[in-house]
Amino acid sequence: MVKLLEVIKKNFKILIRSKSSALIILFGPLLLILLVGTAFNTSAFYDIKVGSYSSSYNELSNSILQKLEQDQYKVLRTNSEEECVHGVKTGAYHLCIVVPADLQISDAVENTIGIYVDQSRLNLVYAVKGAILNRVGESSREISESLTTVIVEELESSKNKIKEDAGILTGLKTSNELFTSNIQRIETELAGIDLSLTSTATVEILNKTKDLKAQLAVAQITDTRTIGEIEDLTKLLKEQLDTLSGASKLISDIVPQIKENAIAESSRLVELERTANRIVSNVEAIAVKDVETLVSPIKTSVNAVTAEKTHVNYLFPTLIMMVVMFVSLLLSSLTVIREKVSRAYFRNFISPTKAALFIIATYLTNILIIIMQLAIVLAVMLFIQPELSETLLEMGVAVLVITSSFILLGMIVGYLFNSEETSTIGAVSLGTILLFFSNTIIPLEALSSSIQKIVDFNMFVVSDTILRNIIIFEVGLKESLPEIKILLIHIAVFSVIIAAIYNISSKMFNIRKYLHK
Amino acid sequence: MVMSNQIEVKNLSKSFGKHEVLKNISLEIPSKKIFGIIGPSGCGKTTLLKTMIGFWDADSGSITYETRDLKKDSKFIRQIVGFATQENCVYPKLTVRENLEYFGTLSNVPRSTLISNREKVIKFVHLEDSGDELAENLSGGMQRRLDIACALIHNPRILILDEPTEDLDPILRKDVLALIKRINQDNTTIVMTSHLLHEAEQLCDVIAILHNGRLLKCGTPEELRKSFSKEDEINLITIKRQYVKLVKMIKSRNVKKIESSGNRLTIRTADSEDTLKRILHAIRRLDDKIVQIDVRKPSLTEIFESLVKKSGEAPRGH
Repeated sequence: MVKLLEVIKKNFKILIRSKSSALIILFGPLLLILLVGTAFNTSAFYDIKVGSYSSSYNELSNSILQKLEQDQYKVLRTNSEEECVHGVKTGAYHLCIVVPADLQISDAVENTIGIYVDQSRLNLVYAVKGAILNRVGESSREISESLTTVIVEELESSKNKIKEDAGILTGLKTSNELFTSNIQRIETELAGIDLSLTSTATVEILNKTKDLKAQLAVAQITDTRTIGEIEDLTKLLKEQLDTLSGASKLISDIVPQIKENAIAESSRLVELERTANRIVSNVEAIAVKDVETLVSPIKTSVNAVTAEKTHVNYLFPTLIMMVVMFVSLLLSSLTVIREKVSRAYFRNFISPTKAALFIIATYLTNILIIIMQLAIVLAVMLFIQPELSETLLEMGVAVLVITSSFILLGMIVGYLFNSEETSTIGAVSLGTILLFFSNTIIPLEALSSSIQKIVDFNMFVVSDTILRNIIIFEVGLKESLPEIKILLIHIAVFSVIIAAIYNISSKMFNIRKYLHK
Repeated sequence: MVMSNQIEVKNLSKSFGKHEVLKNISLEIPSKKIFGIIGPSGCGKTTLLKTMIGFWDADSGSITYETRDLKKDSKFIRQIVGFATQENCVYPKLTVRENLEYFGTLSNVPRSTLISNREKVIKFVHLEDSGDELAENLSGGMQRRLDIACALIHNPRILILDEPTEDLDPILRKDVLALIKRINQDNTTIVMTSHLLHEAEQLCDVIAILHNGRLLKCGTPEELRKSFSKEDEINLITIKRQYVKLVKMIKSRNVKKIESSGNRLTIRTADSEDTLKRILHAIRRLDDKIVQIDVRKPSLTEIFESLVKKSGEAPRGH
């Protein structure tokens, strides 16, 4: 125990007496917290520059841009589309909106608004693109609502008109039916009229004419004029009968056709009436006639599961993880490599002291330093979010496990490399890889499923999840037991690796040194 | 000479990859003596010492300290051995006292005696005025003394020194050599390496000559000289320089070779006492006077060069 304390004391003295190390180790996290806290202590995006181009702005395009300006976006109009897009490339604008000339709502003209973004700035792109699409979408929805209102109103008025005119249709049908029955009567009547010379009435008239002529002859009335008139009357009668007969025949021919048409019309009118009724009932059957509902049938609302204050609240887990990961990796690898390349290492080795003691001392030195740094971070955190004091104990346990795993990983890096420079590069690279394959830079869901499975064991991701559960969702440590188990497995594996490579690493380093001499 | 051996190295070999650094070395290091391992740079001296302390594992052979095997009793052996390298194995960011306390604790010095040991050692190596200074602020000589002090903090029975005077100026070198003498006078066995042969010759009781990882010779300086040559060398300078006449007058069976170079006459003789008498007699007869005369045995350098020639191997890196 005395030896262990002496080695830790020595490590501390060496770190503190190296001014650059002391500065980075003690003031680094404080500076980081200060910068991040100041920069992210807001819930909005500031100074987002939006380039816009249109060869001809009109009321509609201006209203869209005004909406953006209302949201503190700085809209800068450019002279050409190329200038606008180039501005995104050079960083002059965060994104560029190209609005068609004289934007209007019509099927005949182009009304697609083009948005150009710099995909390399992934996080900003997701945030800004979402906000811009939201604003543009708002304008688009307003226009859509007014168009839909027209359609719905027209539909409603047509339905009412059809309903109103249903009586006319019924009247038409009745008239047609009456007309059909009249025709049938005419047909019947016509069938009853005999206009032939052989009909009883005609034969009787002709016979009476004959009788009259016979009576005149008997009475020896030879007045030719009277006889002639009788004959003329008979002739006229015959002619009239012929004419009537022809007309009757014509009517008889036409009436069935008219009757047929009237019957057909009647069935068409029935069909028309059914269609009108169907239209009316269909229109009435439309359940949703509210324009807002028609335009946005499904509404989404993003609700925070925690009460939002500033961005910095959400950043705490990641912030702590960044401090823990980079400081642990760098500090532990640096401590190990400094000891390994130190001239005094040989004297340590030949002293009657077990190697395990030096490993444990290195681990304890690092964890003490990082706990000190985290104390600063937590103090700032509690100042911003005092309610987190309730989770302090759980957070302490989580941080201890997380820090241990990263320190051991950093120590492995230190044992594997042979100079401070390579070790630092190794530690930074490792940290960057862990950070890159986490949700901090790109969403994990954007990765292929096979990579995602590996990334699930990423220490940064696992640790971040634990801290998010505690800090943001304020759930107990029990909720994070699977993640803690993963970290404990990491710790066990790293400890075995360190025990295996400690002597090999140091001796290999000295063999190389010997061979290079 | 009867000596009890404190360290025994038997058939020790060590390679780094294909590079064979130590080849079948056997040494017997007597107790309470200064044992020097000499040889040119790169001959394997440091590797031999580091293998002896267990920093490198030997490929073959055995090392025993006071009859205890290094592999089995490394903890005990590290407790009785102090080691100072040529690289000053101390923490530059710790003070002299902090370094001593730290390494004392690692070497299991009890807390109760650590402070008194620390002060005793500081005084012993003459660092009293620099006790609270950071090691990085000490001069080269002081750092070397601090390194030796760290090796002494646990009162080791054996002190191993790797090139203790390396990179030091003549005055500091003299200081360190005197310090080694004093340590040895306290009955501490010293094992030291040096490529400065005359230095080892002055200081060491027993010397092992190492060349290309092979042990060429081992013994006291006297034994080495005797084994190398039975002749002494007399260098003479007179006022009148009548060397032709003088040579004729001193010739005997003992005189093996006479050379004249410039104003100096060099005579190699099997009996220096007899030859000196003859020289003095001849000078009196010639009425000449001696400016300078010295009798010397062959130097370690000459012995070393001769041994290397015999071995037929050029030094590594040459």
